[in-house]
Amino acid sequence: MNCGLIKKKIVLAFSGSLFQPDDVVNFHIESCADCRAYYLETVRLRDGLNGQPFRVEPGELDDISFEKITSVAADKKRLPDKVDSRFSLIARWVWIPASAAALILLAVFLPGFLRVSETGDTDNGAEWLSYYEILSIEGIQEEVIAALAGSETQIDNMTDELSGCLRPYELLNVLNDDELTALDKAIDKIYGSAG
Amino acid sequence: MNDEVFEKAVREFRERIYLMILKYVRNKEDARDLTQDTFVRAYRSRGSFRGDSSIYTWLFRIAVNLALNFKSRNRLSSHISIEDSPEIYHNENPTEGLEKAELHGRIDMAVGEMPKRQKMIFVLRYYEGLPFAGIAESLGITESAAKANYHHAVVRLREKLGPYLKGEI
Repeated sequence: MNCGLIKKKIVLAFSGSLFQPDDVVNFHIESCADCRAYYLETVRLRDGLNGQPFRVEPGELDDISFEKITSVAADKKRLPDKVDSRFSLIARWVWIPASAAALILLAVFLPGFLRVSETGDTDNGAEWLSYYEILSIEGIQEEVIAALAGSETQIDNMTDELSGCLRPYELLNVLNDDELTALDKAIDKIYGSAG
Repeated sequence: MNDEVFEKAVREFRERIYLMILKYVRNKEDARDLTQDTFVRAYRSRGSFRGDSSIYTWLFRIAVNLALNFKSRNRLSSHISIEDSPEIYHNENPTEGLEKAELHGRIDMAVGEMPKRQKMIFVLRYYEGLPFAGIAESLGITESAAKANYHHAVVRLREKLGPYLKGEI
């Protein structure tokens, strides 16, 4: 198995709520010192993030009381509510037409941006990004699939297979080792190596 | 919402709001100011609260918006230091304690350097464990945008801290 792909899978596992690399990663890191080091570094990062001491010290929030809040709120009420008349003029002649133009542009172009893949899955309350979704996010799925499939007739089948993979390790069930290596090479060529 | 209900909400939710903001701004003083601002804004607009969402959700959204628009006056100070939490860093091997403190400082810096919205998404997802749909709703973005930003935040964090984790610096 390609080390670049293993490292990507480690980062993907880390981005899920449950940091549990699959069996393939676990098997690989037993025999690959470089990937094991990468995995242990990622574990250290996760432990660092989880161990940060975010907490409230005794008495730290005593100042944030109902009495203080109402008193500050009463002070702020004295601020003028009306906007400056010059701003009103600018708003009327510049911002309002500009906003209207922006809204028209949005109405025209937004539907195109909203054509995104349907994903999202829950597993013990954790959400995962599908491998296909990652590729989609990075805007490289078409190139990767084309490079991997080798011909246009296979692209549709490959897209279906990738779309069905809600977790990175599921990809291993639908692609053989040569295909995974080809996929990884294609990703590295387009996106650069993870490690 | 009457004053009695609001007072109860202050007592009940100020810690949760403060901790969420602290994870975003990574500075205790700023987090306290923003927490107070959150409740002040909420108090001033309590008449518009119709109960469509829970009081906490309403406060949470105000806090998120304030945090996103906040410019720190305390950029140089970290949210936490060895002096702030001696028991966390000193109740173990001194070398390990220092290493942990340094890692936390570097994480603070790396998270602090994320673009604002990406940082907020990372905080809400990683630390607060919010579902992407909830994050998207709170920030007024699509669920896909929330997922994309989160993924980029994780990759970026791993890359930024890579040399340190490898022991190269």
